[in-house]
Amino acid sequence: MRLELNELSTDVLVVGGGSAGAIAAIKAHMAGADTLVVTKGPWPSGNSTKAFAGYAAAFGHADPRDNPDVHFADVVRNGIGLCNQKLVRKWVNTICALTDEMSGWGLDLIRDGDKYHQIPWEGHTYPRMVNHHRVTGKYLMKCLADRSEALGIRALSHTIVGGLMKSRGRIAGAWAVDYRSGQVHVIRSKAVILSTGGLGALYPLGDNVGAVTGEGYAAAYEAGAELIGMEFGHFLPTPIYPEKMRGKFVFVGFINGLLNESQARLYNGRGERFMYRYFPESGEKRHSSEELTRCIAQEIVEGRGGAHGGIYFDISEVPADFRSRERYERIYELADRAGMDLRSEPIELVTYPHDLVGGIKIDEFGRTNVPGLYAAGEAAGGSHGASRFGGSALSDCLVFGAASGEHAAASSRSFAEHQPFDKSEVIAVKDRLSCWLGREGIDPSEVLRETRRIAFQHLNMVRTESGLRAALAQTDQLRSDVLPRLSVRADETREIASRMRQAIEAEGQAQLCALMARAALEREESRGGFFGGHYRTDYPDRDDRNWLKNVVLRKDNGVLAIHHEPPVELENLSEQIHAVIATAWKAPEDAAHFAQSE
Amino acid sequence: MPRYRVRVEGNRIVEVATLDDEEEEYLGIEWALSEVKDSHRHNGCVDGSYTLAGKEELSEFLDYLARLLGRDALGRFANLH
Repeated sequence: MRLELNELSTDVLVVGGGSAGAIAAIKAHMAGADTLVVTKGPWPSGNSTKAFAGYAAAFGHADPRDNPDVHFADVVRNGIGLCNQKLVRKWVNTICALTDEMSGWGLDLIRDGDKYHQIPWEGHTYPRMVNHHRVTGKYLMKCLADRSEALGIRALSHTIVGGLMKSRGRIAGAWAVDYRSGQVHVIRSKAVILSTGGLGALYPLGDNVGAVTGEGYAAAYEAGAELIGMEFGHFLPTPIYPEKMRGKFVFVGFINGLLNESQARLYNGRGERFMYRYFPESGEKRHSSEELTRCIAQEIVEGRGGAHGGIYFDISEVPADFRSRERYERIYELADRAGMDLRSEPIELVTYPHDLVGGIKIDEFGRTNVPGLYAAGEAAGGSHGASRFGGSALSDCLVFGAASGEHAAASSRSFAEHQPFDKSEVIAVKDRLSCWLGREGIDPSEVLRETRRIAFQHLNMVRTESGLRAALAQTDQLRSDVLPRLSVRADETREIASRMRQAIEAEGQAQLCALMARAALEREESRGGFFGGHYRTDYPDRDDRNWLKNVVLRKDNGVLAIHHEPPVELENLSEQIHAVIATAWKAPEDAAHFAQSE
Repeated sequence: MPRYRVRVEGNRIVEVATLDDEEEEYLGIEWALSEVKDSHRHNGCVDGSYTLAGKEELSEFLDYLARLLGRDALGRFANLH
């Protein structure tokens, strides 16, 4: 295959095709910027399509006491002291107007008359999830896709960005590979918005779409952007056995529901009902999904897993009538499909990341510390603090996607011409690709197997110091000994193109694992909310005295620099806000649906 | 593995298409069932497109629709499951 670089140019380059990327592109286009989207999956795509429950917007339609101040307080309370309150204020104040604007574009949300149908969710003081029948993401993405198409926004689908390119310290574009054809693009742009999503597919199991493997974080880091909160993740349990029950959907509602409502039990590999060790009174019952998942992860990381390394979920004693209950019939159907009799066999569970809570550090316009570089959605960090609770993913994606699109478009107008790339950067890209193409060496898929193993074993929900040090040593070894010998050689062009994608992913994932391990090693405490946190076996307790601050990573003169930053706090918050933050959230007694929260 | 898109209008299946793009992302059976259950509970109506991961999921989905809406809802696609 001959190496030819296809040169493209645009005002604003959006990397990522989920809700953050789609709305960033729409807003940039509407603001008059020539806009190009590069997306690893189809256009549009990403995890947003899979978001089921809806998103939080404090319209107060279900309860007139709700308003953006209460929403602000709920987010801050759930962030366990580490939210960037400036971002939260922007987010909760903007999402309602943005929802109305999207409704004007055709967003199909369930309504009660002229009001949105808003449902309650764990952690929110009032019902505020706007939704569409538990498949909200599907309809949101349909709306954004239709809008993008109507505006004629250009997109390169099935194309992976290999790296960002700069000109005299400012972002000047990116290079990317179409992993079907092998075409390499060098894209000049006046601003780049990274909306590459999270990292779920870096792990071997989980509910994320396959393209979300996290190399966007690494690309930002390599370009000099600061990363914040990379030690915080939101993990959930999922079946590892039977294999046929592994699925890319959220399973915890079945587990928590059956534990609370019936005689379902959890055992470790030694046959112990281990939850009683953590909670002598309540055992397996009445826990948030976060608490439950943390205990499962702790048993596994401390070597008390079962035959497949997981924890046994035993529902053999659950009364037969549960099989026909609407809420649980599906778990029995899935077991039937897997050829498993739940009356005599347990399901084995492990934990996986639903999302990374931190990310690329941004301000309220989506700007990073690198001029011309923006980030939005799950790729960005700071707004959620230590924990991202339900209803926050899509609303955060939409608000900061829109903000970054508008700001990037305005900023691009101040540059009449594209900046020339630094010569050394173009040479580096060509050299890298020539090496991959020109030599025999290591198949990048081997590296991806290794990064998946490192992530699953050492960067799961509960971490040990020895595991984190092992992750660092193993990724160091990959980066020094293995990655320099990658080869994408193959007989067919399509196979070469596919391996180029894998090579980019391998480099990004090795870097990402190292960054996560380093951030997790730095934070010597445990801290968690409803949906997310950071847990270490050697520092099991929260330590507000020493750790009410963020860990920020940055590449400085070629090496990783770490510093701590106090969270951004707003002054003169209302009494109502202080009151909500100070009050522990409690589910209403009659709210059975809370157990179905993620 | 072939993927399928099932289109339902007014509680009747009007199209079952094979997706020819193997790289297209899809939601699959869990999302399809969840959406159908919720919308049917909400207003008694099933309308929309649902993507499925393979023949097994297609068969399971058609079977579910037949139970929920009656076998007539499958129309000329009844032989697919």
